[in-house]
Amino acid sequence: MTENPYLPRRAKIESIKQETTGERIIKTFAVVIEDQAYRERFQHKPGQCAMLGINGVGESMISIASSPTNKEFLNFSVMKLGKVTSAIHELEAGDLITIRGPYGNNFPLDEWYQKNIITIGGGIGQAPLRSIIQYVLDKKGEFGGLDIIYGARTTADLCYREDHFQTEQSVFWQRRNVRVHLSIDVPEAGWDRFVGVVPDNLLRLKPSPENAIAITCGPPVMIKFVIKNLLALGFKDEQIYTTLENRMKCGIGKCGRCNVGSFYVCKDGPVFSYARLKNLPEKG
Amino acid sequence: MEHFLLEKNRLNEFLSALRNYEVFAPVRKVGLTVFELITNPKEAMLDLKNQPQSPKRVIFPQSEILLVFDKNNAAKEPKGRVGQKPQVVFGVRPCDARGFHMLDPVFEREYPDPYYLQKRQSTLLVGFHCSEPYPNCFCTSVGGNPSSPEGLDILLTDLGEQYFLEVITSKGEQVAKEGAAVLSSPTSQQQTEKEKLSGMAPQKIRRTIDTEGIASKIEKHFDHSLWRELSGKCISCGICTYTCPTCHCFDIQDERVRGRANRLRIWDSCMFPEYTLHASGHNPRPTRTERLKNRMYHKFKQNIDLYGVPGCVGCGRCITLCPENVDLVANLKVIKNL
Amino acid sequence: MDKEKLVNEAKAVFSREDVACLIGYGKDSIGFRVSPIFIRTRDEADQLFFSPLCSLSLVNYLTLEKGVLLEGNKETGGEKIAIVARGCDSRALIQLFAERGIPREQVVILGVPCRGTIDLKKIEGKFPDARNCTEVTEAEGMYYIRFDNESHEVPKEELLADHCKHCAFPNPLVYDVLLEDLVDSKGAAYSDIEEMEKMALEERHEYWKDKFARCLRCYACRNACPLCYCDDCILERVSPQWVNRSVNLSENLMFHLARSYHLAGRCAGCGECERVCPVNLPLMLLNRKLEKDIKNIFEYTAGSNLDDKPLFASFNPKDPNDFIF
Repeated sequence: MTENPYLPRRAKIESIKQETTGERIIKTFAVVIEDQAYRERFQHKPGQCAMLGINGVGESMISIASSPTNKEFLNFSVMKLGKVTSAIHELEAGDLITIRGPYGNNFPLDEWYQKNIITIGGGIGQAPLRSIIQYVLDKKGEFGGLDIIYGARTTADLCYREDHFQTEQSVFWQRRNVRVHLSIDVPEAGWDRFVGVVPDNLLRLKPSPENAIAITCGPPVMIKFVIKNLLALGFKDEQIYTTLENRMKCGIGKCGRCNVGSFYVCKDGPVFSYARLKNLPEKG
Repeated sequence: MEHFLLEKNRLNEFLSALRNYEVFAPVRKVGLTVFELITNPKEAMLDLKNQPQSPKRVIFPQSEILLVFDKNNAAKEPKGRVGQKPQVVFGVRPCDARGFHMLDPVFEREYPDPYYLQKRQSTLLVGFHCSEPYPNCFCTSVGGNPSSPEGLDILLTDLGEQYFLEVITSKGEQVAKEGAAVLSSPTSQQQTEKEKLSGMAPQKIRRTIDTEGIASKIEKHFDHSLWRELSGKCISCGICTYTCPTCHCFDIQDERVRGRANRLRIWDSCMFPEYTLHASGHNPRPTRTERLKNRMYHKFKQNIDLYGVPGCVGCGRCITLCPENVDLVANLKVIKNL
Repeated sequence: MDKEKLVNEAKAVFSREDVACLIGYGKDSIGFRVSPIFIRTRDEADQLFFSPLCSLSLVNYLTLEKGVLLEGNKETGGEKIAIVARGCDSRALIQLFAERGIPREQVVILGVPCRGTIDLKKIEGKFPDARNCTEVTEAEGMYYIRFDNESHEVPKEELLADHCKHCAFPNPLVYDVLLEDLVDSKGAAYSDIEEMEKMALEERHEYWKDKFARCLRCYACRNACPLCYCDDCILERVSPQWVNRSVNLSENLMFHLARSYHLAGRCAGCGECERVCPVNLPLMLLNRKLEKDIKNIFEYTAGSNLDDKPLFASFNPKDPNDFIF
C-alpha cells in the first residue's frame, strides 16, 4: 500500500519572529523538516500550503510564506486564532512541530515570464504573497516590474515590516523596477505613507494592466473591492489572481468541508484566477 | 459468472463455513436492525426490514483512530490496521453496495486513503436482491436497480425456500468455494424464476424523479429565494448525512483519554453550522439554507463534476428518517421545475 | 379536529393581528407524514390541519438559528408570530417566555387541547405500505384510520406515543385562541420511572449502556428540543472540551447526561428528543426522571405557570440543601 497521507513528519522550529503586536498576534516560524528524504521531497511552489500540527492538539492548514528558492527553511506566518494556532504560538525555537504537504495548486509563475507583477495584500494575506515576492526578487531576470501594495489596520498589524522597509528604500531594487507601497487604515503619528484601505491605495497608484498580473490576498471584503478596482483599471479576468481559504481538516480533498462549488480549496485551490472564481456559485 | 442454489435452511451452515472471515450481518438490537460483527450465524436477521443505517460503517467507521501518539508525542499508525482478517458483509442491499462504489473514488484518487482502502479491499459484499422496496426508495431514478449486482461480490435472490446465488466477482468466487459443500446447482426453472423476479423489481419502486438536467438547474438557480423555503423545516441535525450510504465528510480531532492521545477521524455533517466555521468566526454557510443547498449541490452537481455520477443511490433513508420530513425527492422536483 | 374551525381561526388571526408567520401543521403527501408549515398570508391558511398524527412540536422553530424568526420580525417592526400549540407546547412557550424574555404578546397562540398523538414509527411499522393517509380520528379509545381506500380501527394504546401516555398537561396552559373544548387531564404519573427506579444500579447501567452505545450523535435530540437553544452549547465546545467528538459509549453517555441535566427543571415534556431519534433512544425516561425528582425536591414543574421564574434562576429560602453533596 502507498504511504499514509495523514502521517505528519517532524520539523524543527529554527527561529520565531513576532510580526504583529496588534489585536491579532502573528508569528512567523522558520522550520526545517527533520527527515532528509521527506525534506527533499517537499518541493513547494509559491501559493501552496502545508498542514502544520502538534501531535495531541491538532493540525491547521497554513500557507507557505517563503519562496522555494530558499533552500534553508520554510516560513509559516501563523495568526493566533483557534485551538491549534494558539498552541503553535506557545512553541519556542528548538521545539518540534509536525508538517505534511505541500498541498494545493500554485500561482502559474511559469506563465508569467517577463510580466509585471503586482501584489495587493492586506493583513495576514501577505503571507502567500511573500512566497511570490521572494521568488520574483530571487529570479528577477525572469520577470518585469514588481509592485508590492500592502496594508494593514495599524503599523502594529503590518507583517514583514523590516523586509518591506528595506526593499522600499533599496536603491538596488528601485533600479530593478521594484516598488513598495505600504498603507495603514487609520492615521498614526510618524506615518508618512498612504492612510486608507488597500483598495483605495490601489486606485491611487493606478498600476497599468499592460503586460501585468495582479495577485491579491487578504480579508474577503478587501479582495472583493480590490477585484472591483482592478477591473475598473482595465485588468482582464485572466490577469487577476487570488487565494481562497476555508475550514479544512484533511487537506487532501476527502473530508468535504472546504468546497467552493465543485472545487476543494485544499486540493484544487487555494489559487484561483478571477476568470475561474467568478463562475463559482459561492465565494467562500 | 457461476450460479448456485443455497437452501435457506442451510444458510447458517454456509455462514459457518466462512471461518476465515469476520462476518457482519444485520442483527436486531434495541428494536433496530444494524450491521454488526456476528459470532453466531443465528444472530443474522435477513428479513432486511428496518435498516436505518447503511453498512457504510463497516468500511468507513463513524470513529476511527488514524494515528496514536506515544509518550514522546511521536505519531504512529495504530496496530492492527495491516493484516486484518478479511470481512464479509452479509445482507447488503444493492443501493448500499452502490454506495461503496460512490465512496471508492473519494478515497482512492490522488491521495489514496489506506484506512478505507485496506478495509474495502479485504471486505466482500454479499447482497440481497430487493424484492420489497421501501416506500421512499428511488434507486431507479439515480442509476440503480433493486436487483443490480453493481458493487457486490455475490448477489442472493430469494426464491422462497432457496436463495439463488450469483457469483459476481473473483472475490465472491472464493467465498462460494469455501461454502461449496452447501451449494447446489439451480434448475433452469429456478433460473427463469430469478430472472422474472429481477425484471419485476424496478416496477415496485414508487418514487421517481427524472434527474436529467438537475445539475444545471441547481447551478443556474443557486441564488434563488426558493432554497430558503426548502430549508424552512430543517433543524440542522445530522440524520440525513449519518444514515446516507454515500456521505463521507469527516472531522479530524486529537483526543486525549486517560493520558493517551490519538488522532481520530469522526464522521461530520455538512448540516452542522460548525462544519464550515472558520477560526476567525466567519462562516461561509451560516444558515440552514446554505447548508441544505450545499448538500443537494454536492450530491447532484459536484459529484457529477468530480466522478460523473450523482452522489446518491436512492435508498430513501434521508427522507424516511428526517424528523421534519425534508423530502429530497420532492425538493429535487421543485428545483427541476424552476 | 374540525379543519374548518382551525383554518377560520387562523385566518381571523391574520385579519386581527400583525402576524408575519403562523407556524402550524400541514399534511404531507407521503403516508402518515405531517410537516411543520410556515403560513405567511391569510390565504395560505387553508393548508393547515390537525389530527392525532401531529406528534411534532413546532416551538423549536422560534429559537432555531438564534431565534431568526423572531429577530427578523423585530427588525421589520413589531410583527408577531402565531403558533399552533398543544399542552406540552404551551409549557415550552411559558418556559421560553421566562428564560428568553420573549414578550408574551409577540406570540399568538392557537391552543389545541390534545388527546395524545400517534407515534409515527408505530403507525408506519403497522402499515408500512400506506401511501396517502386521508383521515385519522379518535373516539372511545380507538383510532379510525383511512388511507389508500382502506379503513382501519386500531386501539389507541397501540399507536399512542409513549410520552403521551403519561401526559399531565393535555390542555394548553396559555393561549389566545382555543380551538376545541378542553379535555380531561390526569395528574402527573410516573409509573414508568418508578419501574426504572426499582432496577438495581447495575441493571440500570446495563439498560442504558445498550442504548447509548447505539447513539449516532446526530444532535437531532438537541436540535428538535424547544428548550435547547444555547448559542454556545456544552456538547460542541472545543476549549474546554467537555465531550469528545468520538462516538463511543463513554462519550455518548457524557453527551446524554449533559443534555438531560441541562433540561432539568426546563423540559416541557413534548417528547421531541425521543420522537426524532433515529435509533429509538428512550430519552424521555431521563427527562421524566429529572422532572419527577425536581417536583419532589422543589415542588416545581417547568412551564406550568406563566408567573414562575426559571427554577435555577430563582432562590427560595425553603429550597432543601440536602441534595448538595
